[in-house]
Amino acid sequence: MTSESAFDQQGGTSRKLFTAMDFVVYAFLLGLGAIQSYMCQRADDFFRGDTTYFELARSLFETGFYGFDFKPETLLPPGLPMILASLCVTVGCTYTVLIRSMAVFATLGFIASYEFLRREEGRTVAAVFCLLLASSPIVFAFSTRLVFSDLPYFFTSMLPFCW
Amino acid sequence: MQLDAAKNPHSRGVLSLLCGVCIASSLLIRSSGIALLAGLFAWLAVSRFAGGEVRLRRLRTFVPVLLIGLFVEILWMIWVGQHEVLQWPMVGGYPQSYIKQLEMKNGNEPELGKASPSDIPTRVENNWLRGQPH
Repeated sequence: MTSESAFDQQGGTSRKLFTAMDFVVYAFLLGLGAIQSYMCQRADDFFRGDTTYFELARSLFETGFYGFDFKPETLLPPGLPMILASLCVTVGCTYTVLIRSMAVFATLGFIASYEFLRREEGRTVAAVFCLLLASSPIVFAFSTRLVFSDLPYFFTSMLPFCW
Repeated sequence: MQLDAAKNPHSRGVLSLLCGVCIASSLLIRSSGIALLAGLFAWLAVSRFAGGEVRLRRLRTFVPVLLIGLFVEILWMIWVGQHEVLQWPMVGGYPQSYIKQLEMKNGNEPELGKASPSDIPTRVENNWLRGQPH
């Protein structure tokens, strides 16, 4: 978290203005998100460890019960199942819809990270960090193959630093 | 953070609420979000070395955020305590809470039994080696 002096030195200019460099970085991040969304793994149903999250979400929106296999779920917090349940109700409940939401969370998480790093360390550092990580194979695999809590958590945990 | 530098009490209140909601959401998505609360607490503790006005302003702004997060986590832990159903009552660890799993020698192999203090250095060493790049 920044000190007041550092904030005054950087925040006054870099926080308010949206420069061409910001536009380019946003365009790259959104482009990478679009690629992840388009190139996500296709399947008719869940078949990996993320099945638990989907079943918890389905239980929530079909019966209002937060549990799996007739037992209340006490290990995994209900945040991601609630997000998935709301997506099921509003957008659709297919594997494709839910896995594409991971690409959305990844993109939003990187945009939030860029905004935070831009204020703290400047545009160049923020752009290098975010673009390198956003284009890494590990992030691509995470956002295209698994409906997991990592990327929604990445987004919600970076967002407070933007405010 | 804009929240730390905000001068207007109204915008400070709104940003503080949004910050609290985000931290609560993080905790509800992953239990490791508790690290955010620990970090915020440590930052506030260090802020006592800042000037009196800065320290008071930070306390007024961020203690409610911290309390929102703690409230959500406590609610979740109460719910867990009331609804936990042990799949294998004779075996510790999974699917019990993360704290219960820490009591075991190996959370993935609960049949090895509970850990003793002498097991902790070995666990730290193994986890350290596992985290190294290959």
